[in-house]
Amino acid sequence: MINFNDCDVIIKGTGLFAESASISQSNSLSRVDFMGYKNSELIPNGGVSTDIQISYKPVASSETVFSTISELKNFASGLSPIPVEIAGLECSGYITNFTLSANPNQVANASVSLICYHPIEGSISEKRGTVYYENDPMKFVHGWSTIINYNNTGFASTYAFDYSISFNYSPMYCLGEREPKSVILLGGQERISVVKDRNVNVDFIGTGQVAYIFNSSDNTAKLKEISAYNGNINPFITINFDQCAITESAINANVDDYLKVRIVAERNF
Amino acid sequence: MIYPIKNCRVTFDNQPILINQASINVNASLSANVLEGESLPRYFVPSNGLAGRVDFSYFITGRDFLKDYVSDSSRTIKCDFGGMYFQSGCLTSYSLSVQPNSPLLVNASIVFFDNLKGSFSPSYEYKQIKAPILNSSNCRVSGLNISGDLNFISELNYESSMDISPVYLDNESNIENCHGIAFGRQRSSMTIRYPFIHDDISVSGKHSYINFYARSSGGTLYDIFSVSGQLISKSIKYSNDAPISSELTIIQDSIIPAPVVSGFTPLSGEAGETFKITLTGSNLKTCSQVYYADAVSKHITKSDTEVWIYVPKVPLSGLFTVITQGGSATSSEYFAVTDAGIGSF
Repeated sequence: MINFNDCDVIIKGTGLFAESASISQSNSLSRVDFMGYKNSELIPNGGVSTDIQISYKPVASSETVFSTISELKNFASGLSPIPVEIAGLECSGYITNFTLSANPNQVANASVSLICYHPIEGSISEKRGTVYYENDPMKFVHGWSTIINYNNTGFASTYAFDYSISFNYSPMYCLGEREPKSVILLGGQERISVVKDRNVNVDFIGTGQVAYIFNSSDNTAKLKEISAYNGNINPFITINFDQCAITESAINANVDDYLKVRIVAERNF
Repeated sequence: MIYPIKNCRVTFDNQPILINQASINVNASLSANVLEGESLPRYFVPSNGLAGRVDFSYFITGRDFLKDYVSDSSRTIKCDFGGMYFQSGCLTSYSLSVQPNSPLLVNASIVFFDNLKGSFSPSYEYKQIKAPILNSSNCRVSGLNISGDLNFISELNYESSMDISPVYLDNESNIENCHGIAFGRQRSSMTIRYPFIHDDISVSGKHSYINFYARSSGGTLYDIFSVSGQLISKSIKYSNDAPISSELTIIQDSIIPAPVVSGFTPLSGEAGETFKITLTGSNLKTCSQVYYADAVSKHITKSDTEVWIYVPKVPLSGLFTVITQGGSATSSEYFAVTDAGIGSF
C-alpha cells in the first residue's frame, strides 16, 4: 500500500506539488446482439484512451506545463505528446485543459488535464527519489505577487483571477492500427475571469474592452513567486490577452460583502 | 406473443450468419386503374409478378461465404428467415464498410421472385457465438498507382451491385413464379479516405487497384476484397473538426476471375511427415493464403495454374482452400493422412 506522500507526480521530468492526481483508462467496447443467438458480444468500436488530471501548486521557476501551452497556442510544428508519470505509471499525453487561479493572500492553484492515446507503461511504485521537488516555499506562485493592473492604479483593483485554456485534438486512427497514427491540434479557447469592483458594458462585438481589465498598454497578467512581492524579480508566468473579447459582466451584491463584478474575456485560436 | 431477435434465426444456404439487423419486404406490382372523371382508382391490376427483398447487415467472422456470390452472381441463394423461406434469391448488392478499430460490417441485399413460404417459427435453440468478429485494426491495404502511404487510410468502402430483373413469358400460367432471371451490369467500386491530396484524375482514366486484406488478430488472412480498374473520382474535404482528407474511388473495369482447384498430388501420406503438395487449377497467380484442414499452410505460388503447399506434421486429413483476389476455392478431395502402423521397425 503506497501513501500519497510516496507518489511521484512528474510532467516533462519536473516534479509537481500535486494535491490530487488521477489516471482513468477506458476502451470503446460496444454491445451487439445477433438474430437467433443467445449471447451478446462486446466488440471494439474505437481506440483506448487515458485521461489524466492533476491539480497542483505551481512553482514559478519550474512551471513546465505553461511553457508547453505557449508553444501549442502558436501551432508550433511537430506536435508531440508530453511525458507524464504518476506513482510509477508512465504515459505520453496531449494537454486538453489547463487552469490557473490566484486569489488574495493565497497560494495560486493550477490544474492540467491530458489525454493519452498510447498504452500506459510501468507499474504502481513508490517515489524514485531522483526527481527534484522545489523545497523553497517562497518559490510558489502567490496572490501577493500576481499583477493584473500594471500600474495598480486607475480602473479598480482585482480581487480574483482565473485563467483557463482548452485544446481540441483530432486523433487520426487508420486501418490496421489500434493507436492513432498522428494527432492533429485543431484549435482551442482561452478564458480569463477577474473579479473587480467596477463594471464594464458588454458591447455587441466584445472587442476593445480588454483594456478595462488591465488598464495597461500590454494587456498581460503577471504571476510571480512569493519572494517577488516587492516587484524586483521578473515574472515567470506571463499571460497575454491581446485581442480578447469580453463576453460577460456579472454584478453581485450580497449581505456582509462588498459589491463584486465578475468580468469574463475569451479568445479562440 | 412478442419475440426478440434472439428467437429469429436467419440462414442463407443453411449457413449461419451474425446478423444484427434485417428486414424482409414483399411487394405486389399492382397498377391503379383510374377511370376518366374520377380521382380515385376503381380497381388494381397486376402489372408484374411478386418481388421480394431481404436487406441485412452482419459482421464478418472469417471467410465470408456470401462474398462468393459477388463474383458468381448467377448462383441462387436459399434463405430461411425465422421459418419463412424462399429458394431462388440473388445477391443484388453487397458493401463492406471499414472504419478504424471497428468490426468489419457488411450490408447486403438479396432479391427473390418466388413466393415467401412458411410462417414465422420462433427458434429456441440458443447457440453461443464461437467465431471472433474480425476487426479493422488487424487488416491491411495494398494498392497500385495510389499516391501517399496506404497505411494512413481512415475509411474504406467496398461496394458491388448487380441489376437483377425477373423474366416473365406471355401467357405464363403461373404468374407467381417468374420464368427466369436476367442479370444486368455488375458494378464494383472501392472508396478510400486518407490524408493525402496528391492524386490527379485523368480524363482518360488511370489504372489502379486496391486490395483490402481481412485478417484476424493472430494475422490469419481470411479474405481479400479487391477492385482493379480506373481511378474515377477524387474529393477533398475541409472541415474545422478534422484534418484535411481526400476520398478516392476506383471502379472495377474487369472481372477478377475466381480461382479453381482441379486437383493435387500426392493424394495421401503417412502421419509424422511433412508433405509438399502440388495443387493445380486456374486463376491462382494472386494466391495469397492457403488453408489445410482449416489451418494456414505455408505455400509458394508457382504460376497461374500451380501452387506448392507444405502440409505440416499433423495426423489429420483435410481439404485445401486457396484465397486469391478473385475469391476462394476448395479442393473436392481430401488429402488422406494414413497411420504408419506398428508393423514397421
